[in-house]
Amino acid sequence: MITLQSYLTLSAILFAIGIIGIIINRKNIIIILMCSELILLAVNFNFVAFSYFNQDYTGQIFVFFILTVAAAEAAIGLAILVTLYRNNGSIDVQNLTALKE
Amino acid sequence: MNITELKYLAPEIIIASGICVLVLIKSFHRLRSINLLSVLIGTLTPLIALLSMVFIFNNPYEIILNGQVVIDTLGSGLKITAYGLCALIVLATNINQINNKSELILIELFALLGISILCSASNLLVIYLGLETLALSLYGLVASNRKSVKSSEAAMKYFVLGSIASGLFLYGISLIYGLYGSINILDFNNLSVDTSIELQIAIGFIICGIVFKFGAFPFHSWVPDSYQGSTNSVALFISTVPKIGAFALLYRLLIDSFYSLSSLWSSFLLVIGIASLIYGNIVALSQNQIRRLLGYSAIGHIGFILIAISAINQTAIESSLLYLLIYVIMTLATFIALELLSSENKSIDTINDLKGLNNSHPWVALMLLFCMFSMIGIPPFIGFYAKWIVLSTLLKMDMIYTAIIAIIITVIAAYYYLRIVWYMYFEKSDIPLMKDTSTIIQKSLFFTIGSSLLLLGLIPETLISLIGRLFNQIY
Repeated sequence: MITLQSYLTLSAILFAIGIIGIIINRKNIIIILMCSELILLAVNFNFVAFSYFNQDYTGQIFVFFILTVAAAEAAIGLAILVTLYRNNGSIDVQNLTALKE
Repeated sequence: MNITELKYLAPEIIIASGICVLVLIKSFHRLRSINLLSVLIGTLTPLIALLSMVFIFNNPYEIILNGQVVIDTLGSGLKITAYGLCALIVLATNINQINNKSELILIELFALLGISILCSASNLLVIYLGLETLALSLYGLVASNRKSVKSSEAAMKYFVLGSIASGLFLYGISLIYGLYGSINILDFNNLSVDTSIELQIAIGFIICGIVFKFGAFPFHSWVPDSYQGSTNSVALFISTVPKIGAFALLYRLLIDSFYSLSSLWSSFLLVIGIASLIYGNIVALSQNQIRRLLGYSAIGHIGFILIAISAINQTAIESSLLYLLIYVIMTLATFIALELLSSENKSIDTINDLKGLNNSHPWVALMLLFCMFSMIGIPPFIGFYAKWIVLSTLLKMDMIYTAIIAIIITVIAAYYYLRIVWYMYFEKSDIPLMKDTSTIIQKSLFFTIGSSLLLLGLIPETLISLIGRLFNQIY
């Protein structure tokens, strides 16, 4: 029998991987986009687990909306990435230095 | 659901149809007057939405669509402010300066729709959708200067931070859903204070999302970047209207729903407020890029608003709202001044560009002087009353040390505002400023708003009582 605790732990681990991946990543912006998707998926996991154990469908409906928004967010992120590549010639995190005080 | 409930959603429906019309017009590439047409639609849509609010004002409190949307005086007041601001901003934007003007107006209307949804949401799902509508359009706005490295870099940084913040916010929501089995914020009204660790984590995550939207201290770094990276026209929008959305978010989540848990979140807000007050104003001292400077000063002003809210009671919330509205008017006037002075090939970017402004544009210089004095908080101007009301609320609540810190920081902050004034009045210009290309509408708008900073300062009771009437039903 898998308990709610195990689902929540898995979701927390996924969430932490996402956050840490964004923070310590010094190379590629695409990896950051992947990590932000991972965060949203961890949240979805949470919602589905709560929804199942509480016997309430609201959480599952919430998941549909999160998936849709995540797709829109990824589209905008990639669009910004394309303009950045055109202007800057690279998508390395280290080359993002045009804005300095 | 009842079909007559839809009349309460009239403003949102009008904005959405305005967006559709603009998209349709945009697809006729060869239309020569497309810029003028889009300015017309961009101004009329918020104004019609504003007029449609008259029907709503007859019923001050209404919960519709199975408790997903709530219509109350505070939400309607914030909506009216946002619509008015958006119409002014569309009018004040330079037509010549940018060639993708109609796209800019389109995205601004999308952001306005998001704010409008946020203002009347009473369900965590609706709040999340409104928040994302706002956030996604703001990423687009910051990136809208497609040829510039700075613009796309600022948009990328904003996007990454924004996606982390919305992830944290959602995680908080999911924990709340797990704890209480509901996402309707009216169900959280009468929670008993329990200090379980899960609840603290959830509230902490939700506060992270709110603080990011405001651009306060730990999540501030997108503010100066996106102000600097974007053009003056975009900075004009992102520095004013989204702040109203952020206030709506804070009000709906913390005061409307988790009010009974205020002992959990008020200290969070106080610490964040003081930190961003100190950080924003200190870092702004060394800035030369004018939009970056205004970005840091915005962080400082937001600090004031958060400190005021953390003293949770009716007058504290009213005073923070007053501060927010006055701050928005001051910022609007300042950015319209920068927009007026910028022309197609010369944009005002650094403080040096303002050298000798008094010789070339004496009236614009005078109005900019009003803005700066108002932001410092010098007595006859309206900015003074904003600071005075917040400080007197703090003193009433026995938060004396906070008030002392705020006063000291305000005095320090006067340095960088006065530096701008010094450059305008006492420095000789190296390069002559370009010929004035602004329209008569822009000029008259700017002088009305600029002089209202002084006039409202002379009769502050009018504004205060107006706000009191507009928002008379705070919790």
